[in-house]
Amino acid sequence: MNDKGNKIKVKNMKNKILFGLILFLFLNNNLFAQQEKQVQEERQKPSLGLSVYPGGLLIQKVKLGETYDLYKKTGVALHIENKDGNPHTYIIDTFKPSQVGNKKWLQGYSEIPDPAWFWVESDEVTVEAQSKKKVKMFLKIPDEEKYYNQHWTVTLGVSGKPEAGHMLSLAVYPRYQIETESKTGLEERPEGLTGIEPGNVVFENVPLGKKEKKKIKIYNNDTIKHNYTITSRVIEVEPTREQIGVSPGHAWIPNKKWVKPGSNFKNIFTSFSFSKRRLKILPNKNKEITVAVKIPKKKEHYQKKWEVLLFIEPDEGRPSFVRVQIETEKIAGEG
Amino acid sequence: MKKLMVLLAVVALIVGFGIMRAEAANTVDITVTVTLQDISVTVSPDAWNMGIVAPSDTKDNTGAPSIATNGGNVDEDLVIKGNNSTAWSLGDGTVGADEFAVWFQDDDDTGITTLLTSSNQPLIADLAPSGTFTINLKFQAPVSSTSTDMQTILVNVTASAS
Repeated sequence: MNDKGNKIKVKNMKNKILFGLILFLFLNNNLFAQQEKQVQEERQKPSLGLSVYPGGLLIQKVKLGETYDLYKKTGVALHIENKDGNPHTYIIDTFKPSQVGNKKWLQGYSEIPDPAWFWVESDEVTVEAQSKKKVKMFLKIPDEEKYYNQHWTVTLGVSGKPEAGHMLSLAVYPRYQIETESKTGLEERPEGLTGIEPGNVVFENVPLGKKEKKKIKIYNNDTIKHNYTITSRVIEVEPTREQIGVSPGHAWIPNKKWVKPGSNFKNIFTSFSFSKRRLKILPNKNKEITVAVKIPKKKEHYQKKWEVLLFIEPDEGRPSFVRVQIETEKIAGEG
Repeated sequence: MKKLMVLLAVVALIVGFGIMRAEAANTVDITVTVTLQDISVTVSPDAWNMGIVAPSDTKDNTGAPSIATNGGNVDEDLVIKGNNSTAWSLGDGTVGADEFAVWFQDDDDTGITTLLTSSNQPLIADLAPSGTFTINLKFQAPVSSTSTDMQTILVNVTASAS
């Protein structure tokens, strides 16, 4: 009886040990699998990673003298994403592109006279590993007449603060475009070597098949005379490249030849408009040119909102541009 | 008295109306358009442990270089610049007392021949989304060092839209 009991006890013990062993192996395997997964995930995390949104911004119709909280006004904020496995502190600052070795920025834009007119709520931000942080952006252009009709670019610098033991530090420098309010009849010369007035020319309720004209003024604010070439341009959309954006609510005009820079000379050539216009302006002088718009009369051209850029390129120096916006007439009988 | 008060009230009304008219004409408001989504760069590894380097000796990281990757959705230009360490200065290509030199290989180089300076210099232009670039570096130690502490030399890599 005792032998039988002992045998049962030993068998039970063996079963318990076996069960314990199986359980141990099962748990250990799971733990190993989890550790292995963690190691793989760690390997896939970059050593350093930084992402900044938005990569490009077009801010238009900026009123002089007004302070803008862009997040409050439009919902757009700066997002800084730390893509690696360690927390980092980033320094945020604004610059003229040339101050940070940026020699190429969008043609048609000049460097903002003072980058301090664009700022963020905090110039130092700590972002935890694999996290994002939102930072508000602000803008205020001084209320001086010469700052109407301006097209500027500013660089926003987001730089990782140097950290002990790290050889590399990352920075991302997006460029943002700022266009101030458009205005005519100014008494002061506009800022910039090539000044324009207005910055936006709007043709409203344009009848199809008929020519409409408006005037723009070009200022040579340099100390030497310049020859300018004026052309109509639309931008070929390339989503991966920095480009001049079209104004909200508008599309690029299907044919830029429908908009032509003309002449104000009162002679037999008055009715002529050319797809390319050349103009000489003496230093500290200005000249007026006509912009002519004629949209072919076709059904599909009614009730359209189009935009084209009138580029003013000096023989030397950076170009400027005027946005020409065209709203075609409504179909007769419609409200 | 009554007449004066009435006159003032009329004047005030006219002035108020004038101001209101000017503001009503000024209804153009700011617009903000996101033209590029995000600019992103990752680098791995972010450290190059050279160990102990003899004076004037050179070392390069080609055995285990850092790889920069465009993690955004726009074409990017990368620039690079160097910095002084706590005890050494970034030299002009000729090493000296407490003066080191670093070279990098940019997109046009066939070797690690471009001197790293404290100003941003092009590393690669038009790097497409998901594109990678190998950051090859060569270091030359100072002729002599007043410090025996380990030196960390910081290299900045900056991304901007092409």
